[in-house]
Amino acid sequence: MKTYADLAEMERKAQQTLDMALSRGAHTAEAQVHRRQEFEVEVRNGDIENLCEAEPFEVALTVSRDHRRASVHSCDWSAEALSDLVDQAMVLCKYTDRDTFYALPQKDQLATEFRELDAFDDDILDMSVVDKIAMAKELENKMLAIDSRLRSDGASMTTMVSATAIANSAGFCRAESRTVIGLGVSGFAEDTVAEGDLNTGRKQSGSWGTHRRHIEDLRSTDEVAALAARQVLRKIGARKPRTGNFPVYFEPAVARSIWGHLFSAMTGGSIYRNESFLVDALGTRIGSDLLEITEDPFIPRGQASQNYDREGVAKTRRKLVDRGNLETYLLSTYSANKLNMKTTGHAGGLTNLLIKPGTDDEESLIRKMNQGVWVTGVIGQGVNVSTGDYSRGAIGLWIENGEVAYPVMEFTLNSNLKTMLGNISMIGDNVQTDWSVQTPGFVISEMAVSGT
Amino acid sequence: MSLDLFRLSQESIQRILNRAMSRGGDFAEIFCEVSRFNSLVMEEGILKTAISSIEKGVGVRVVKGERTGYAYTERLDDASFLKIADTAAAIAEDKGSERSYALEQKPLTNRYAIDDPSTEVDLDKKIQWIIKANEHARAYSDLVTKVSISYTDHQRTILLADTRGRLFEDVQPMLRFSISAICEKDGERQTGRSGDGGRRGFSFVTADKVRKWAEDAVREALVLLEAKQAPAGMLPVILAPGDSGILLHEAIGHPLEADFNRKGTSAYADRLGHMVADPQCTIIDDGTIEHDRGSINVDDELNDSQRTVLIENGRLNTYMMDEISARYFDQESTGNGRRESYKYQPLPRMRTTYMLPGEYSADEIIGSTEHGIYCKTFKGGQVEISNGNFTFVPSEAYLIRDGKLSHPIKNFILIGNGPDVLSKVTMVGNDFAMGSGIWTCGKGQSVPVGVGLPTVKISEMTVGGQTA
Repeated sequence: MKTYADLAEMERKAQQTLDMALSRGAHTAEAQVHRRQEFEVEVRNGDIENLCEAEPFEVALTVSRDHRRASVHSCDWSAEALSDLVDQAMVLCKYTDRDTFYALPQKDQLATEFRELDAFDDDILDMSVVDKIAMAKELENKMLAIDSRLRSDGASMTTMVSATAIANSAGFCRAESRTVIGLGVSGFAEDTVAEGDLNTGRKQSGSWGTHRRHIEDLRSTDEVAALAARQVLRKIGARKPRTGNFPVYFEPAVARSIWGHLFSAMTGGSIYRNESFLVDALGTRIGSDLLEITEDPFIPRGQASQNYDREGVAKTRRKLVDRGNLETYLLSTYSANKLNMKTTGHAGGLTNLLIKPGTDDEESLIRKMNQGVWVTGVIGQGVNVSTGDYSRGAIGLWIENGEVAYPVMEFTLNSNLKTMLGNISMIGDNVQTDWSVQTPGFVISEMAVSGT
Repeated sequence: MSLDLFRLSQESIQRILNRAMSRGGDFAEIFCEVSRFNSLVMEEGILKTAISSIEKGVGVRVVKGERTGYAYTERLDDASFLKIADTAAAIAEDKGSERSYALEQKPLTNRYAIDDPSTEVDLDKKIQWIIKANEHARAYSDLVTKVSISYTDHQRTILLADTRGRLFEDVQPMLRFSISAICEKDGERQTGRSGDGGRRGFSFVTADKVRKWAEDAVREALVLLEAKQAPAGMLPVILAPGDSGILLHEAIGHPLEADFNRKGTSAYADRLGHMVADPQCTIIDDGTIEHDRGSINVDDELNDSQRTVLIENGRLNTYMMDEISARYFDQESTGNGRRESYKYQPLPRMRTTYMLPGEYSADEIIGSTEHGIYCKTFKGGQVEISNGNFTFVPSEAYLIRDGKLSHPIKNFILIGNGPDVLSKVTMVGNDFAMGSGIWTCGKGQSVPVGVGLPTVKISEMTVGGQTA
């Protein structure tokens, strides 16, 4: 197997930085060195629009002395620059206050077994620029061929090859390399508006993107083109829905955003700061009994698979939510110490999430829902994780008599995340695998819809 | 000139530009940047985090028509520079000819000259202000349970050279002070936020300002503790002066960025010279305001910053242009080509976007409204360019009843359609104010921006609260 960069050399670099900090008075130190090779080409209307290439470097160091902590970052790996960086960190940590909760993980919490996650595809290293451009052009052509109303806002092909080494003075040091290949396309179409000429020039747009660790797992250009075209075409002719309380169906691409809010509320930092609607909710019911969420860090080739977190703590496969009960918070060593708990290996976030599907297909969910809104997109920052208050703009399809009646836009959805999770009344079988959060769509039995 | 900072010389610039143009191209440029960021955060009464970082790199761009080739490096040596020049050059397919680019230094009109850059100030002095802010916030109300304060500064030095023979260096300072306070009462918890900043020196932060920011944050949290759920449906919306300018940023600003119009995705494509807003609306994008967060001396492709009239008495005057779009529209650039850092190529971006004042007093505007919403402070906004739908999220807001502010309301977003909302601006106030120096715009890349607005009445907009 090929690797990108000399991983042993990267481990040495991280360890050296660490040792330098310890020899200059640090009591603990964490170092991360990272490098990557990125490539992106965007084509529009059959011609290259952008071609970008770069090979950036990063080094990050956190030190503590007498429980006073400081962090420094740089993009310069030279021995001289690293030495300056360490000095800078040592000066900086004289200014911060003692924080006895800050510590590194216990030795027995560190990962010692490393599964083969198959996160590196040699073929991505060998792919030619010509082939990448051709693939983006092919994707754009396929989308444009689907419907004569479609125009292109560009198709892109990206590849990234990266290597990251993590080391800390608890005794962890390891480097790994990964690849990512991505494909995406955006389209738009003229839209017509029935009432007056207020919206002269209105268009509707949509896009689809997909990324994988291996070329052979990438969705076909046919599939991506079809998904993007659908995102545009089903919006044409959208109007405002009426105001009232209705059931709401979140299709998988949008369902993902709701899980994002849930995970943010489960994060240790939100909990110890008292800035989450899930404070004191561990072990209690937080949602419908249909709700089952599993984190699986070890899926071979999984978009977010990892053996260890940013602190080197071993990852585990676990249920986050089981039959509506909150099974865990997402803790780093620091937030665990603040809460008098143990780290769950979530320094740096989550890995692959699997939301348990139901048995209804999308058509059946809509039929059972009978009337309401099918949400295909959300917009705006109206979510307050601290209180759970939820108010966002949306776009979608109006459902009448169990069928799609017409597209709707320029309306809002309002509720509270606690209520929404409790009111998940149906979950579909349509799991979407394009992202690390693999979710089906679901129906919330009632939300306030504000339109006309 | 700090050519040595990037290990460049007049001669190496010549070599790089020639290599960049080796396959032809309309123009090429070298963009060099060194940025220093510092951040201090107090939480739970202790100075918990101190972070310091440095980014330094060089990017080369080659443009041919609407095609762009871009590459950057953080290894500052001739071999790396020539390598990125070759990568960027690959976008063009002709043969270039060797020539000499007579580099002439562009004159500088400095809009943010300061003699006390925050990045040079001793940390103890910054920490003193943070401690003060924490004390003020906690002293303001017994209901305060958490205070967090952050002080960040950023010094960005850029150096550009291009095949039109222009050479320029700019030092762009920035500081920002932010406070958030949580208040709790009867099991309910609300957060208030405040702060300010700009391209300022350390003396911008004063005892009075620190006290005001701390108290404003707590006051907002206390107001929210008393707030009731907002209504749903179409209602008149009145925007307070200042940060409400975020409405313009979303509703009209982004859709007037030239890239969306060049590509035809914006609702305003092909509408230059047309009426697109109520005649009371004159909207400006301005990069020339002294010390403003959105100000720049030149943009990130060497064009002069300017005060650009986007909409004059309701009529669309120009888009916000970067160099590629300006060439496409056969016009001069408006100096809106900006980038987050050397890791990105420039895009048309806003600077500070505001509406000129009108004739009404705030009292007249509020008094004219029987039942509506008054929005004072904001968390942010977003827009979907193609259909013009945009949202923005108030934090402190009130219900208006019978021409007067009634109780505070919470938990709602506002959604409107850009062209529709701008035609429904029925009253423009005479009380213009600039917003606070805290806003960052994200369009794949983050850049600092400003907003401003007088009191404005929109006859109806969808309010995303709860139904009765």
